[in-house]
Amino acid sequence: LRARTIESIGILIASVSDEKEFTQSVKEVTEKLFALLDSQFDQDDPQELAIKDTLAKISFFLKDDFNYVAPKFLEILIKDALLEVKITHKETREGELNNKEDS
Amino acid sequence: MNFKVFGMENTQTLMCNISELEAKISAFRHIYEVSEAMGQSFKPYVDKILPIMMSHLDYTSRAVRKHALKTLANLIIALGEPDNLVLFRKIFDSLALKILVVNKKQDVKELKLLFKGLFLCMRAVRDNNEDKALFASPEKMQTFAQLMNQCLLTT
Repeated sequence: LRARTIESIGILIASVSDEKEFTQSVKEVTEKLFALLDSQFDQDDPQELAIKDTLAKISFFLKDDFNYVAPKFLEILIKDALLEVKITHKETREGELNNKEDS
Repeated sequence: MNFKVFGMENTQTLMCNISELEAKISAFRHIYEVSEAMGQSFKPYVDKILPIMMSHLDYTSRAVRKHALKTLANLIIALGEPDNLVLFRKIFDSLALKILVVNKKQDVKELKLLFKGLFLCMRAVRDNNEDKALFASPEKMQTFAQLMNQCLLTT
């Protein structure tokens, strides 16, 4: 539910991207999202992706003004972009898969 | 996530961490979106982002390759004149080589992806530069024409 709420904030911000009167509120939201991003999430927690999606939408709103948070955000994105996704291979013992499928 | 290997379902298993792959793809998408949104203000980050994009043009995931290619055009815009012409020529050399390899394999889908990436880079120069001399010499331009001809004839 929190992830959906964060996504909704992003959609709302995108929908007012031409209205500069919201700049201060958007900056406050940005600060809050960064504070959230500093907390530890489980690997499959949808909040983390929702926050990053929303920050990317915020960059469309803030444009040049996004510079004040861009280094921190890009640092996080670079870390994710350089993740090594390993495809590992293992020998399956006879009956192992069948047992898993049955259970 | 575990995958059964076709023909070896009972003996071999491949395992892949899907969460990590999703995080990686999302990171490339977000970098593309931020670079698109910031335009020329993205210039200070070009040096950090460029090697990552270039090194992922051959990556296994098509989504990663696609976003890396699209980001290159944004980096050309961010860098501005005259440095972006040097960057364009570097990107062209790299993509031309990849196009030749992919064309040999008759991989039309990948060929389209690479040509689209190249087109976006060319358009970025055309729309943002006073000096629109994409190629350093007529010979280089000839290389591009030959490349297109070769692809049109074989696919």
